[in-house]
Amino acid sequence: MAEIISQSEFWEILIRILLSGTLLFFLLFIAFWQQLQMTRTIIISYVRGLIQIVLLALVLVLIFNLRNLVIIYLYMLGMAIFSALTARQHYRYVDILKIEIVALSVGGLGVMGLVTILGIIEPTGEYLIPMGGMVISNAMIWTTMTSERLTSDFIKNQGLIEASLSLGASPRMAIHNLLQDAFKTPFNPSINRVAILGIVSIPGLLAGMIIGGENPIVAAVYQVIIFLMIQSAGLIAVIIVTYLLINKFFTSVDQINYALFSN
Amino acid sequence: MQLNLEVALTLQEFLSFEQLTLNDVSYSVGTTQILKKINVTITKDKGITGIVGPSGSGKTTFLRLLNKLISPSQGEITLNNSYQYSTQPSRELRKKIGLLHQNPFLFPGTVKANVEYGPQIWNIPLSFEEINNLLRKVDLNPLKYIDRIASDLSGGEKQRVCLARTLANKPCVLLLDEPTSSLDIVSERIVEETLNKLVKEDGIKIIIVTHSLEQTKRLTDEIIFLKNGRIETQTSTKFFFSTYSENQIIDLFKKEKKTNGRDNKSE
Ligand SMILES: Nc1ncnc2c1ncn2[C@@H]1O[C@H](COP(=O)(O)OP(=O)(O)OP(=O)(O)O)[C@@H](O)[C@H]1O
Ligand SMILES: [Mg+2]
Repeated sequence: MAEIISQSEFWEILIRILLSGTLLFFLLFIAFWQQLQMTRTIIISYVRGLIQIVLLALVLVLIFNLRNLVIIYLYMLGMAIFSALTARQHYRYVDILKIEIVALSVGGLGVMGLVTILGIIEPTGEYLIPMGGMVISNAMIWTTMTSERLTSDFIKNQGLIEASLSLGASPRMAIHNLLQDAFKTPFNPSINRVAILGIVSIPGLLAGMIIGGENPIVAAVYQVIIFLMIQSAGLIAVIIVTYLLINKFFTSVDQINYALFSN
Repeated sequence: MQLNLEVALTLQEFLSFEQLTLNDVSYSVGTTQILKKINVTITKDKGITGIVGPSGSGKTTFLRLLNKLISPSQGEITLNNSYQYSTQPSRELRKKIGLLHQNPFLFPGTVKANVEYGPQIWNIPLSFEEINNLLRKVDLNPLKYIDRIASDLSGGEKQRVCLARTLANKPCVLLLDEPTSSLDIVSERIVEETLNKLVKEDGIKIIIVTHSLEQTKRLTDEIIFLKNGRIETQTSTKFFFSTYSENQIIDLFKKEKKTNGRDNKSE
């Protein structure tokens, strides 16, 4: 690690960053123009994201050489907790942190563990960490989409839910339709993405592996595997989140937890 | 995950409805007290009970308590002198003490699917003929309506499908929140006839909220007058209408002169 970056590379990268900054300005301009009131969030997210990923790139070399599975999985657990902390900030009705941690750890680490045990993925940091990252961050997106959809549908459909409860339905029966919609919300776009794989979309992992000199067929197969992993982990996480959320939406005597939605 | 309807729970039977007792029942949302220390007994032998009172007096809240959609903040509701609401399973109670909501919320799908919904929860088969009968009871021609999409129906049609749906569960007590508010005069009379039959032939207890004094006079045997979350009076319908003149009744409905505006707050 004598020299991570040469001087000519440094300047080239700097110019590229500045140029892509115009894209950020464009994004900010649209947000401002459409009065989305997200300017602050966008700037903070990008600055934060940039710093984080540059730091990651620097430690990546170390991580990729990891052979100790315990450390690798602890690292992934850290990813799950960090993602859960992020998901928590955008959900206002209950503190969703614990729910997200459970869901992302079980879904993400569970699937990663399975592919490790089955020997589908080489048990080294080089493969497990970036794939784990993809699986966990995706699971977070899924759980966020599902919990938001479920919550807004729940609030919108309280009358119907009550009608169902008043006939003696269990809470789960009363929101049966809502649950299905909430599951489909993240799953549909994702499965569509698989369907256009290779024709419309050239996903990052594939591109990265080929640029990195990997055999293109191996890279392509890995890409399909990663989609399978992403969707399994996403689905597990989503099921856990909905299950635990529903328990908060209803009381132990099968009433709607009105206090939760009253403000 | 299992998304199918769950298997029905074992029903905990009580033989027949005798009475409901509310003991010091209050219900608050935040700091607002909606029902205030209600003490009342509603018995079967008094016939149809009407809940009357000004808008916002707490009538709907009262029915929701009896269906256990909500629980009292204080006090206890007791069924037949022995079943305390707080210790009884909500789902069984709701089946026995059926509620018709003030707003007709129908499930997506056909009229048939809506009527079947309750019995399906409990895994009780409902024959085609039974569905037809239920629709006839609420003045809907089965041939015309059974396969209609629920969301396409008019307000009055929806209200009647909702009533049929509640009846399909064969409740012992029927809580009706303005069941005929959107019906024309013919349908209203047919529904009232059905209600009378339910009382006489099936021995069902009916507790009905209504804004129509005429309907109160025609249909009910007993009146509970709610105002500002309190029971103003509980009398027989005969006594009520023979004692009060129309103007006096209107006075009863009028909002109390606000003494110092804190009547709605908890005390
Ligand atoms: N969840 C709630 N949060 C706040 N206030 C509520 C809530 N539910 C009911 N209230 C208030 O309690 C009072 C009684 O409501 P309720 O619906 O029981 O009245 P009602 O007698 O049925 O009126 P109406 O004849 O108009 O249907 C109203 O002032 C209402 O605004
Ligand atoms: Mg009402």
